[in-house]
Amino acid sequence: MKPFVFLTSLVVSSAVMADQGSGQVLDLLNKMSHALKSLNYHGKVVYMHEGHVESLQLFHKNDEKGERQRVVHLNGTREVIRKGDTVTCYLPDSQSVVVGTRRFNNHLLAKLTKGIEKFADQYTFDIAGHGSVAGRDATIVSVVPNDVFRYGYRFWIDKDTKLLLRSELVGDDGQSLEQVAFVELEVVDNIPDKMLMPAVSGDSFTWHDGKDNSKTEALPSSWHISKMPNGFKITGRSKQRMPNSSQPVDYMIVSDGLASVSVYIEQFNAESQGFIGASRMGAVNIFGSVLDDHHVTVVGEVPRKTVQMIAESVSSGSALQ
Amino acid sequence: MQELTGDVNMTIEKGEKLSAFLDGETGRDESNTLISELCENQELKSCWERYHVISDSMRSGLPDSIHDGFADKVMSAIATEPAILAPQPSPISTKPAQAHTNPITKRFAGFAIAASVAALAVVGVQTLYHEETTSQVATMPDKSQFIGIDGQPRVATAKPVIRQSGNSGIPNASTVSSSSSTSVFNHPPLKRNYPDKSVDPKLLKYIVNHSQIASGSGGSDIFSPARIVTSTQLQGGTNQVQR
Repeated sequence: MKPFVFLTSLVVSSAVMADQGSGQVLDLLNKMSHALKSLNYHGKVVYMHEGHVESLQLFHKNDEKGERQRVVHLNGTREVIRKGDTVTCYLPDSQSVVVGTRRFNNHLLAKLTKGIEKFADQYTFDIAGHGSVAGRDATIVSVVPNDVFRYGYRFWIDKDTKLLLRSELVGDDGQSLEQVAFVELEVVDNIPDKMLMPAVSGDSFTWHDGKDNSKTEALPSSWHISKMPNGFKITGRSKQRMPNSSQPVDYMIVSDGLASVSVYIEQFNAESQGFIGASRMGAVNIFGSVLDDHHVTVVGEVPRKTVQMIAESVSSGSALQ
Repeated sequence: MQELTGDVNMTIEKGEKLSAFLDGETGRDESNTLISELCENQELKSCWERYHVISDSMRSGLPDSIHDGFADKVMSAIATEPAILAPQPSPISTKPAQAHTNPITKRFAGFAIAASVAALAVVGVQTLYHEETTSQVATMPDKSQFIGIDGQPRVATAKPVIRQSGNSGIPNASTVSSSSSTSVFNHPPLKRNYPDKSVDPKLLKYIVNHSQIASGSGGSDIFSPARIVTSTQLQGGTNQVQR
């Protein structure tokens, strides 16, 4: 096993791990990411957040046509279907369908293959123990943030298939912000295509198509973020078409490789209804602010102080990022 | 604080207890207490809706992957529930897995897949938890025919998510016909009996967009879709624009 060498000795001490430990975690997380993408599986999931419990059903199919995943709310009618990087949300209760593009390119796998030591400043990875989920033996991986600007995670990884059986988002005082867990899981050779199609016809619904097109003009990199927590970088820029807006909005995705934060910047116009200040939906924090004649909205699964810092650090001009 | 679903009395602590329960780590008594506590007062129907998923799978035959201890715990807990909470066998469901030859759909005989009468009936998620059941209760057809996105007619063979509880007298759901005069836009605001600082509807489009873009963040491709499908805040806002 290739020994990991920490590049600087001033790496936060909590990040020091035995070579074998970190190698083990890296290997396991790599396998997990691979399993999540390549296997065919389906099951029932409970989603727990802020004391509420929801039941979902999940189907994941991977074949020559690519990867598809469908998540259905079992107490409601909504569902989210992802085909490759196109994510379609069916919302029958508001008779709308929203289409978007997945752009989180810094998938955990991609980052980790470059060496876990790159995360050393931000997170500490460890094997935390073993457990049982949906009747399967699992290895528990803990991901502990090294500062207060991001959340932590715990992953229960199936020892057999390496699928992610249970996942927990841990807040800055150790509380469980969100958790998903399979209560049933079946890994199969094939899943009928029908299971990856929406149960509702969206034909009569209002469609909001926010897909990124490759032909979208490149966003002039005129927006900068002067202050971000350690390890966060702007990893993508685009224009996003939002529902009910005639003008696309300028967009940046900011990530530390594990957490993601979206930054929306739009010019005030007649349609503007800007939100200012902090808000939250579960584990997702939002912060809105004003920059000259623009409105900035920052959204992410990070603590409020992080979205606030980013929102208040957006600037225009030729300043260095 | 937040929006979302109706387990008023369930605290984070109970969430952790539930978590342990799912792991098969709680004793029988504690499991029963947990379910009883979750189901007290007005949240009976919403609470049971969640657990019907588990009980359904138990009745239609256990998939091999279900943890044996877990099944026992759920069944024993269910058996001790007051009768009114026991799930009524759906009049429209045939349950037996053997009716289906396809090994995959066989599993789904007892599973509730999302409601299929989309074009004509809109099930307002919020009405599940509405304290005033003023909306009429309509009968959900057991099979509905609709045109799938591929243009082919499809018949939904799975029973709808929302089931009539029949004899118990407690409707499990209300349905609202989506004629233009009773669209969800005109639906009265959901009343809550706990302090609730709702997410500003203006923010919802950002949350949905972010969730789509960031699918896969946090090492998991399920948090993002889970947030979208479960949020009761994602009701039709005032900004819908007809295509």
